[in-house]
Amino acid sequence: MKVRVIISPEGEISFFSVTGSYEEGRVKLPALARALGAACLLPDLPLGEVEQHRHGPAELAQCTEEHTHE
Amino acid sequence: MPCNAIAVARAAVPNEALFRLLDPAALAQVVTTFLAGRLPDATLTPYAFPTALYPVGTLSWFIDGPDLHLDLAITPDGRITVGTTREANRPLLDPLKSQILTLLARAGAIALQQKAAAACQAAFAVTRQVQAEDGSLILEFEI
Repeated sequence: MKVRVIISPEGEISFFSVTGSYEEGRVKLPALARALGAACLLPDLPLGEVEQHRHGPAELAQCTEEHTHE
Repeated sequence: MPCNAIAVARAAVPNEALFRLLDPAALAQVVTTFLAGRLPDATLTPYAFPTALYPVGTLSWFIDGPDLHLDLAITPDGRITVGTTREANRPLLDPLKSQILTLLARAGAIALQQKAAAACQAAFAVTRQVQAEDGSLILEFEI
């Protein structure tokens, strides 16, 4: 599964599944967050619930009315 | 072209956790550089608060200048105290504290970006690493 991690200059970390299913991401993203938090001296990274979205930030800009949504 | 459902998880790292990513020397450098610009006529003198009042590792300064007499303390857990005995200096306290808080949070977030990039590069085959115009770090890799 391909993931995108975005760390803002305000200290917010966002984890996106770029490929793979939501179900796979729901399992793997928290594990990735825990590992990354531990590696960055943030063992108690306050991760929110894994949400299901249609688009990531980059995909949103590319979406047009012409394509279909599953 | 279909758009797949994706999984998204977010973590907002609290300021005190971001502060802990800064080593004391880096934190002191950020603060003294800021104060030199913000209060160019002031003299900064490091001093030690009594440890009964502030934890070991607290960074503190007297800030003195023409009509200026402040003290500043930053604890290792990110508590910032700015005080004065001069009534005329009181309007400076809240803005200074707020500006230092913002500055240190930003410096901590940059330290977080650097640590995260190094950790991801070490653990995964990172295929994309870019710094966006808004200052965000973007990393992509397979897990």
